[in-house]
Amino acid sequence: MTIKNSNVFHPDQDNDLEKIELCQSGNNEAFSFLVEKYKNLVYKLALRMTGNYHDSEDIAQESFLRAYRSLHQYNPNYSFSSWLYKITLNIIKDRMRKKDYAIPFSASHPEQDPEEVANPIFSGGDNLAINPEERQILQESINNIQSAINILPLSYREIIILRHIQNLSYYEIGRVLNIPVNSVKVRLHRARIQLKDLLGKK
Amino acid sequence: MKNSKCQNVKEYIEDYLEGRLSEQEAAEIEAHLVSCSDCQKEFKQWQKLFQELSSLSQSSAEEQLPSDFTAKVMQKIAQEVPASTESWWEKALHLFTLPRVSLKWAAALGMALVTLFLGYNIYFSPITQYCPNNLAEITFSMRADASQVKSIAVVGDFNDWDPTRNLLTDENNDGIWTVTLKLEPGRYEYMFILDGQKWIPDPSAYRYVSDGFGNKNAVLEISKCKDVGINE
Repeated sequence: MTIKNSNVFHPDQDNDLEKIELCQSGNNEAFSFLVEKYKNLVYKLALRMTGNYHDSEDIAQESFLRAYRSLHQYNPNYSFSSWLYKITLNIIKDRMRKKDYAIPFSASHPEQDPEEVANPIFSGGDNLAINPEERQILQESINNIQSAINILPLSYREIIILRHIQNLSYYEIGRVLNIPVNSVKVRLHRARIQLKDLLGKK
Repeated sequence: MKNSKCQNVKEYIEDYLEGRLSEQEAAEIEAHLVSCSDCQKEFKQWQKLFQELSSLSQSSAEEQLPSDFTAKVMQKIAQEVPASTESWWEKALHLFTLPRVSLKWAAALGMALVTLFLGYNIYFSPITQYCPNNLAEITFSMRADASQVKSIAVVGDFNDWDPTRNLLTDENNDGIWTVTLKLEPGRYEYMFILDGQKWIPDPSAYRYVSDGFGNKNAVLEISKCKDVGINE
């Protein structure tokens, strides 16, 4: 089956492998190439999962440090990005379990950084060439969907984000979540139905 | 029949919106939507969902880490790899209240702990053993002072190296952390992770194997099980 819109980002697996081998033979600088290449994807994943800028930067950093330390266990059959996402999600779940910080994010959170409220993370973006009215509509739509995602159970939230924000294929999602492709499809369907119902209630 | 047609369309709406259908299949869906207001209503809800997800995805493209992020990570990594002859996991051992242990000591201690905790469950040679349902109960153990170590996880081939799945605990506060897993016979490589950060091979492992990149993994081998069930 061909998947038309699944790979906005094409990880260059051969090139990654080369860098990973260099790291493993003691060349740390090769690792900085991988950090540079994947940092914003990891950050985006953390940001959408937690809704918190500061924590997300911290989670991104921990993801790379953990990846570096376990590089000797990296299985080249995985794409590096899938492996990295897996690590990131584990860190996030670990933190949620320990209740290190409140999840999901909400605008009324008492510890919310005032700067973040004033400048919400769901900004429509200044670079989009759209007029203010359109931007406001887009902004509302973004706030709407993010707050619905925040209500989803964790297993639904992660699969929605992997598919629709990270643009992973079903196969890649299966690798990240350790589930067969069929289960990806089923879980994604259930997650979407719940999300659709949540949006319908507004 | 109208109902089965509707059911069919509903089943494929997501595939349609993801662009997974062939031209012909897509055309069939479109044709039905024109003629069926119920399905059209449902389709619009799905379409709205996909549009909103897509706008969220676009806005995410602009969320970026500060430009010095990579430099910060690399700096942390550089701090972790000191120019010392001591290996990283020997350093990790110093976390414990045990006096500085030499490797020989660690091995001796390891054997003692193995006898205590792993006991008769593990053999290297293919000795048949009793394990119900073809699962051997294996207890992993590690000595650590709770004032210095907050968590110990065991990761390995048996749990997909997932540090969140199997955590060791020290319920009676005797400084010996344990976790018991039921494993199928086989050969597993594994490591302990302290506080989610320090990777060390089990000091009480019977055997270690080079991972090919300068570090060592602990190895666990469980021989074939002999299921002493009622059939025997």
